[in-house]
Amino acid sequence: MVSNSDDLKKEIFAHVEHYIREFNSGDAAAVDRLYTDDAVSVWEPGKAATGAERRAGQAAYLAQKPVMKAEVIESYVTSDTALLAVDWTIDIPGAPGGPQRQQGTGVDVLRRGKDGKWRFAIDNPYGTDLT
Amino acid sequence: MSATIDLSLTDDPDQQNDVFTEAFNSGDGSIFDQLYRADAISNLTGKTLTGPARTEAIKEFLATKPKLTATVLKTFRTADTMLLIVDFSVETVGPDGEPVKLDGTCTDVLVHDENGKWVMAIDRPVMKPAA
Repeated sequence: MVSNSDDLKKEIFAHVEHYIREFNSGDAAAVDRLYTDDAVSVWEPGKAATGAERRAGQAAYLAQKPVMKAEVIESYVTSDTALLAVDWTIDIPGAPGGPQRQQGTGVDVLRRGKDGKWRFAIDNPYGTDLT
Repeated sequence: MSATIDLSLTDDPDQQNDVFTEAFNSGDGSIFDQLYRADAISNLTGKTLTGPARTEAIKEFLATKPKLTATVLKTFRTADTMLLIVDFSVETVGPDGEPVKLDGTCTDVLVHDENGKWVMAIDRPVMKPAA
């Protein structure tokens, strides 16, 4: 498929919508299926987590029932690799210290697996903000 | 001479950056373009381009002998996918031949090719606001 074709972009946007739905459902196992096995998440600027640490961190975070809104503002999609810039906001109404809001512009990398499915490989919600 | 540039990219992001910079500064777009997959997406020329159009545009741009300096700020990687965040500065010439300096931050996605070698899949330079 030709890079950046409408079909490829549609697939990626569908993946992002699916991700937001699963994230907002709070189902950690379902969310984890949308990541590659060795995916990297950067939930604090510049600090990466992977493997069991990433899964445990994701599950603990989802247990707080965060609500995500996200908009893809840029997308570059080849047949098996995508780079997205995403404006996002997460509200945690029931956070222990009172309602919390987090926001940022992420720069995320997705890969398409041998099964044809897209997954997050590098989940980088603070983008180029490293501090 | 440019023909002697070793374009092999190791796992070391600083080595990758050195090769990328040397290939860019060779002024020979056909050398620089070898760092990219055939279906890679590049935004280096100010347009989002892939395939032969990308190659043509980068050849034209590098023929004007822009000079790149770049520093790797951060990398995140899985087994076969890497996101580099790079500060860059390009000295080039404007439409009337006047010197122009472009400063910005680039996010680059490298992936393993079929031989397990790193190759550029997507670049996304973002200019800093004019001072």
